[in-house]
Amino acid sequence: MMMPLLLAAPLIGAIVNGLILRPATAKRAGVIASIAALTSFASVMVQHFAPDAGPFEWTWFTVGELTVKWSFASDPLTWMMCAVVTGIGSLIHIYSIGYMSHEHNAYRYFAYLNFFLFNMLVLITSTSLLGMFVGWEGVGLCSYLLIGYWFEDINKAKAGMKAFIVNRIGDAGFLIGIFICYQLFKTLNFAEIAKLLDTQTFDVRMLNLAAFFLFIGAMGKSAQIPLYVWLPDAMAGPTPVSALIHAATMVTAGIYLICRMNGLFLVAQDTSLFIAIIGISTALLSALIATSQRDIKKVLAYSTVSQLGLMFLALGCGAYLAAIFHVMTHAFFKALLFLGSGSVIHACEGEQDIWKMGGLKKKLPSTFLTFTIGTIAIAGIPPLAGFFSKDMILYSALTAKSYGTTFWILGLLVSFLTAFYMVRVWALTFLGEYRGDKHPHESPATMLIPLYILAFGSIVAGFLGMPEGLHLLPNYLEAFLHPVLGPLVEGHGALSEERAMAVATVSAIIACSLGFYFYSKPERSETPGKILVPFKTVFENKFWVDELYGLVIVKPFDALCAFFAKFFDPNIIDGLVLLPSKAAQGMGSLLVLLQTGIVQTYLLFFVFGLLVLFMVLLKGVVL
Amino acid sequence: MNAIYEYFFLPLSPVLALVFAGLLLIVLECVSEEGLKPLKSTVAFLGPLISLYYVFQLSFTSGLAFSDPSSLTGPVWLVEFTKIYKLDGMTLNFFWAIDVFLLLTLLFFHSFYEEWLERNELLILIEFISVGMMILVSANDLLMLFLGLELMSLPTYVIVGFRRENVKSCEAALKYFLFGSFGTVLLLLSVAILYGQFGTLKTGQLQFLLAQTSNLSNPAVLVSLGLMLAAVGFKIGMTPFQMWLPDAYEGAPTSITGFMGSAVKLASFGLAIRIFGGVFLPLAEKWMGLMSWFAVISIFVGNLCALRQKNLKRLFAYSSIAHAGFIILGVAALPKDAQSQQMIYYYLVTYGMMFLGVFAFLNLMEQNGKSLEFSNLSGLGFRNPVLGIALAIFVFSAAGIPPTAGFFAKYFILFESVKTQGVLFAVLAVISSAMGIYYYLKVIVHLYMQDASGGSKLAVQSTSTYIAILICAASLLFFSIFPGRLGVF
Amino acid sequence: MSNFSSVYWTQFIAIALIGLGMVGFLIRRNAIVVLMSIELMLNGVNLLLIEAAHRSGSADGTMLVVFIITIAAGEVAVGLGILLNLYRIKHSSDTELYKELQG
Repeated sequence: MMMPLLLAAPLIGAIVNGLILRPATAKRAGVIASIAALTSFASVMVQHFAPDAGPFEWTWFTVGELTVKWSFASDPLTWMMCAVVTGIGSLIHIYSIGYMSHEHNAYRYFAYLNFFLFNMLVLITSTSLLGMFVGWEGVGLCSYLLIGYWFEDINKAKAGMKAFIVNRIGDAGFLIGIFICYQLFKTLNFAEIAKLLDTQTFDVRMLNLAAFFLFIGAMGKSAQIPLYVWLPDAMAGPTPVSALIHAATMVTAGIYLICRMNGLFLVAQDTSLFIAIIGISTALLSALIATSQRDIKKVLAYSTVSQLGLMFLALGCGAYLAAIFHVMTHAFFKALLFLGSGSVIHACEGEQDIWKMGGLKKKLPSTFLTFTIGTIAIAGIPPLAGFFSKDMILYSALTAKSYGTTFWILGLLVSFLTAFYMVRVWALTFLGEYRGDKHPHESPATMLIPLYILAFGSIVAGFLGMPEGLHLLPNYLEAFLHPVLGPLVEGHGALSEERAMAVATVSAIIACSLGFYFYSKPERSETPGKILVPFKTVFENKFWVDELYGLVIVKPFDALCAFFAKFFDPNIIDGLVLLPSKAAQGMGSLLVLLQTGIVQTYLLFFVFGLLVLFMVLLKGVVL
Repeated sequence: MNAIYEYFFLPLSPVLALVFAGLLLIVLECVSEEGLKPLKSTVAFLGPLISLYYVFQLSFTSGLAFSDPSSLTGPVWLVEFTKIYKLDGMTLNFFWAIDVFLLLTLLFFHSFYEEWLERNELLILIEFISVGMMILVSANDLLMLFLGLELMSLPTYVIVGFRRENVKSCEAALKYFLFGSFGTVLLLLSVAILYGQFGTLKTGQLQFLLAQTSNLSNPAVLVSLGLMLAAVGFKIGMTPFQMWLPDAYEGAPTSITGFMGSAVKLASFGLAIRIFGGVFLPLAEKWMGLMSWFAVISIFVGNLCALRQKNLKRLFAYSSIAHAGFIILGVAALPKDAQSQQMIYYYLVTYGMMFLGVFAFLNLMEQNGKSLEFSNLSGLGFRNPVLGIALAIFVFSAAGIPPTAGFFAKYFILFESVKTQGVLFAVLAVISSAMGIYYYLKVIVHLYMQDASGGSKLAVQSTSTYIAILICAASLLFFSIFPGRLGVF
Repeated sequence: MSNFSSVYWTQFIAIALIGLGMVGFLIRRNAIVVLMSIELMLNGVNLLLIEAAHRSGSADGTMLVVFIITIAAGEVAVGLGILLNLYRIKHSSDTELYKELQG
């Protein structure tokens, strides 16, 4: 009973908001949307304490041997994801009431937001690849709609399109992966695939191929190299959207996919290595870019890409638990950071350049407090949440089968940079004197309460997955997800877990100190830029990746399309289509010439036909 | 006396009604050439109406008493007479259709708008043409067949050339006449050869005698079959004997063309059914394939030539060749499936309605002084909405677009063809009829998608023509909704 | 020559008449000659029918011949009437000139 309610509530909310009622004020629309989201959250909570009878099923179609059902089930992994999605989703809905209070006709926004929630839940609760793909597409659509929400600004609309198109490329890979999976397993149901992987052996190359294509889908959705370029541009949308979709939920869909199919990825070692390499490269690249961004949201965007990279590193090393753990904690503090930045932007009346902020500590005390907590969490300072999850990732990288030490060192570097640039943002935004020309004021309660709740989560969430080595608390998370993800594999690395943790902590503290040192005082803020001038230009221009894509991919593709549209289609295709028509008309002209108008000609044909008749009839007899 | 009434008057009553109407018209013509017009037109209308009444009466007489004349005792001439006249379900169906077409054509004429209609011979001739048609479709004897055929054809030659001052009309009449007489000669030759072989002219006996297998390789019989194919083929518009058709249809006055394409074609196919579903039925394997091939070629030729036409009358003449090709496919299926007779009949009636309707419309255009080109159709759908819809119904039905009556007709015929002869001919027929859709849709395009500003509204100069159009359109709609209601008897 | 029985002679002449008629029908340009050829053909058919009736002994054939003669007469009347009309307009009875309707 809970499952249909879980899914129906946001869908009904979307329909009511978007099609039926269409309330004019953000408050009314937001209340409706928030009630829907909270209903979903409540149903998730109830489900845990009163577990369901079984999966909720409905047959969609049957083609040959393939029977596709709409089937939703809840296992520990799904439940956890649902809890995160609906919980943080509800908070963001409530936050949006305040954020969008000046918008006219905000019902569109809330309808999209609810619809997104619905699709995300479909994605998470589906029991087959196909159902997941439906939700996958749905969240992509909602992402596009919400990024381009203020579509009157052509740049924002373009950002929405960019997100959609890049996602689509990933989706193509995902589809191919689905086809290969069907080819291999003759089923798309997760449970059946898992069973098959246990009992049968398959060609490893095929498995690697399937895993590779599925990863391409994850690449697109979760913004890894080379399909990450849409995420920074997606900041054109409203900030709560960035918080919900591009920090906490949608971008984690790729990670969820790989965790769901962990049986496949465990066996596909080559692809897993590839995933790890891509993950760490992305993490490093985006961390470097984040150090020189001016826009507060862009920093957070690149930070998200970087953290996602770390999660993929974990996945590539086979540490699915670590990745999910980080998903959960990252959802808390990244959403917190985004909402906090939203509060800042709202206060500065739309200003997003951190060089024009400063001194907001006094003006926005609540925001400052929560943002600080978020910064500490992401920097990886114990005992906040980020430390434990990041540590679990780094340790699993260290103990990976191959290149463990390399991964670990690079991961450490990424953490260092993360701490550095986050402190940079924090210092430039809140410390010192106000450099802008607006009049900042604190945000309303609807925006502050979610911040506090998220801050609380950022503090305590880490305690759910503490490593056993510390003998402080049992690893609740591992116990909970054990049936789905398997045990946390203990490997052997160069260092023991405790030593690794210590190293990580120390590097985080050093990075924070550096950041604080440079950026807390205005006269020293320019120094890092001056020291690393060549690097600064590269980082600032995002390694010119977008421009590279434009040159190498977009331009030739445009030319190809122009060729097809202007030359191939009108001349060749149309020519082929018109060919029968022209042939018919030609033949018609010829035949018409036979009607000369002279009777004797007609009669000649008559007699000729008669002779033909005779010839055919008398064929066997006389002739 | 009772036997004479029962065996002579009653079965002939539909025919006799028309004969008397014609004779009465001749008398009235002698009495007064110029005057008495209302009386004359009333008599002309009464003819088919009374005939229709008798047809219905005949159909409800259960167990037609004359169907088994072997039990008849009476005067010799009566006994012999019953043998030359065949009254079965098909005959009654055809009678009914002939009467209805005649009535609709008379509605055309009723306007007396054009000067040439002032001459009353037209009414007389038309009545007698219908008499000839009725005799033709009910003939049991080759002599009667010939008589009916000639009675139908000769006045038709005359009325095609009725517009004495119009060169096209006269030329059309001459061409039709020359072809027609040639066809008659071939028919007679075929009859002569058959008679020489078997010594009888009765169709029933001939069918029985032909059933002996030795006839399949008898060259005389086969020559006779070939000649008969040519003669019948000429009348129904089968390639390669169709070349008179476009000229005759284009040259004849528009209302006459309507009559020709509907009623005369109906009777010609009645002839075809009587001959090939009757006399030459035992030789089926010889002519079935041949006829199917000619049919398919007819459809091709008709549609291909029609693509290049600009004159609307000629266009519909060529399209009638294509439609005839379809019906011939149905005739070719007769030997293996007697049910195809119903299908042929359905096609003939719906096609006749469509043809009459179109030509009534063209007549209306002519009455407004417009030449029959596509350009004059532009935007007509908006200026005259009702007429536009009616024409659209006709054209869609002709093109065979579901769910119109024309589609069902084609479907039935193709069904029969596939059932009896396999897929080949049906596929070819469909391909070539797909070509035909072009010019039908061209009409629609001109009606509804061209600029309406150029022309003026078509004034309805003659209400009866308008009514004829409406009746045709309504009946087409009726037949499309109830395809099974045809062939009542 | 006398090997041929009279039956074959009659048929031969009849076919010859029909053939001549057909050839004349197709080749001659003068419309009146064309009409004559039709008559020739019809008479050839008549001969054939009479011969067949004589052979088979039934009177059907002869009856048909009578009807054919009658109708042929009517046909000629009609044909000449049509031709006259056309002549009045075209001032020529050359069938090659009668091509208003073409294409």
